[in-house]
Amino acid sequence: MKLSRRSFLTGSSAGALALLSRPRLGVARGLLIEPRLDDLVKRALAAATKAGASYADVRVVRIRRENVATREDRVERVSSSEDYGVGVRVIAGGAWGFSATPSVTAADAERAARNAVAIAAANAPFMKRPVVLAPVPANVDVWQTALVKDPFKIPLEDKAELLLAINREAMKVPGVKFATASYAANAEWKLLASTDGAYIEQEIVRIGPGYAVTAVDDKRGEFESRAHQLPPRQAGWEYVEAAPLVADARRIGEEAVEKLKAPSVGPGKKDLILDPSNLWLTIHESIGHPTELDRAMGYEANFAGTSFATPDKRGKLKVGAPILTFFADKTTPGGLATCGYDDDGVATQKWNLIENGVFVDYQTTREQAGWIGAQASRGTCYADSYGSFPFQRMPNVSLAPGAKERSIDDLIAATDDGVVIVGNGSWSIDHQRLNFQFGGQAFWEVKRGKKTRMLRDVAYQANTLEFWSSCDAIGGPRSWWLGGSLSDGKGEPQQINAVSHGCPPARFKQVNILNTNRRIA
Amino acid sequence: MLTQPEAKRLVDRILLLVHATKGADAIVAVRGARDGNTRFAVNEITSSADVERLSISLTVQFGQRSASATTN
Repeated sequence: MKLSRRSFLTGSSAGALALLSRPRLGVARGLLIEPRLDDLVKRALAAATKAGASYADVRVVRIRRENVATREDRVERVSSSEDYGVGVRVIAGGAWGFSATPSVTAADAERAARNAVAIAAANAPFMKRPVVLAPVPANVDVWQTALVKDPFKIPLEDKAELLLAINREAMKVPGVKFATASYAANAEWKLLASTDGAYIEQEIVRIGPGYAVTAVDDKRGEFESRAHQLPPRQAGWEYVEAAPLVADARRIGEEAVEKLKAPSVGPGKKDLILDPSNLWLTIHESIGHPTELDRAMGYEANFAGTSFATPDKRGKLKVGAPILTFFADKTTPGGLATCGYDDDGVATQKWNLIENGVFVDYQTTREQAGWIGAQASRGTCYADSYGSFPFQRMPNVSLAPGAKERSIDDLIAATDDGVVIVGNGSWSIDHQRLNFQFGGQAFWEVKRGKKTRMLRDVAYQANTLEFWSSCDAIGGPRSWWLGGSLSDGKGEPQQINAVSHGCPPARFKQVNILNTNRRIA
Repeated sequence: MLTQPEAKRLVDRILLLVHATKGADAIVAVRGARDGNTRFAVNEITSSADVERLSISLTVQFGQRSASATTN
């Protein structure tokens, strides 16, 4: 039975019972669709169908952003933005068509719907195979970020004062010359309705404070920076309040100064111990992107290319050591890509991509599921604004912890000669996501089970399969940590996705360590 | 899409509000665009779009202090 969104939320006792029986709705903060929007999406879907669409979806999207940036004792930038509009995606004659407008009225949504069908019809003769969508239940629901304090209701003064307090604390460290602290938040509200019965309202709030400190040696003309590694999260202001941002500022400053004085690393093969604050980015680039099905099938080649994990290797390719299981999960609490439903209207889920070291599955959308013979989508469709075409985007992709409780200190204690890396730095990866190089924020030498001294100019270089196969120890459940990024780019035209990656610390045997400051004579 | 007179009326109205505050200077920008794209991969059309965009950006400055806001 199909329910109208309005009658579902405000109507009968059956509707009220449905509300009570749905746990997702039980935690909702009371999002209610305006009757005007309810009318708009129905009219747009009807217009698309009347014009000849075999499928249509309508997304009304409102995205708010807020940024505050400071440097030392001054506020450098305060900005806010809002982007609101409606996009209509259709299939007609087996081809996609998409049209969007910032004018959120029923008449303009109908116009966009007819325009989308005309685009699809124009493309249809050139299709080699028709677009076929995997089936999906007619989901009707509300989903919201679990938060206590809406960051957009916190006064700007409070945000600026926190950031300036971080800078003040860091600048107290002798040798520190520069300190920058910033804060970003975005709130993404969207209503999705489709001719397959989806009627889903969601609000996702993401928040990302951060800072970096730079120490300068005027005599040598050298400098080193150290960034705090508090990851962005899907959360409210309470996440920022609970974070040790000011408390850590002096230590971060001291580490920048120590790094500046540290010896340059000697290149060569060493055992490598990666803190989760570094390893999450390596997972993103070498496991997350290669298991996107469009890359594996050759439909996506922008932003570091296609993938080594082609469909013929599914279930066979040994990507890493048997202790490694990587999973995709759009339900991870606090994960930046977490939501109730994707932009195809598919309920989000958790599944393995690499199981005990073997490549087993992909990230898919409704369109892609049939490409590999799957009966259903994994729910990874996303568009970053009303005006963006929804396509496959990365869910949170994480490395499962080991069963045995083990911390990074335990890994260090069990290492005779190695390097520890904390925090993420620069990176590069080739066009099949096989050969890569990653830096970091802070580096320590390990000798006979102890961190002996800081190092500088460190990067590690490896082949994806050799690197993950060399992993011989990982941390336990309590060492698991969720990193991530608010701005992962993909597509053409480019779209931005926010995504998290959780992992324990891990040790890798005999990895090639580079000295990034070595000069060619 | 706004016409030029419509955009001018909007800008004038915003600047009038800004000038009501003593000492404030401002830059207002109204941007409208209609973009079309067709994306090909593996010799197939993978997506095709026609997108209208509109934004109004305001940057206000009081002496050395400034802030900006954008909406549509």
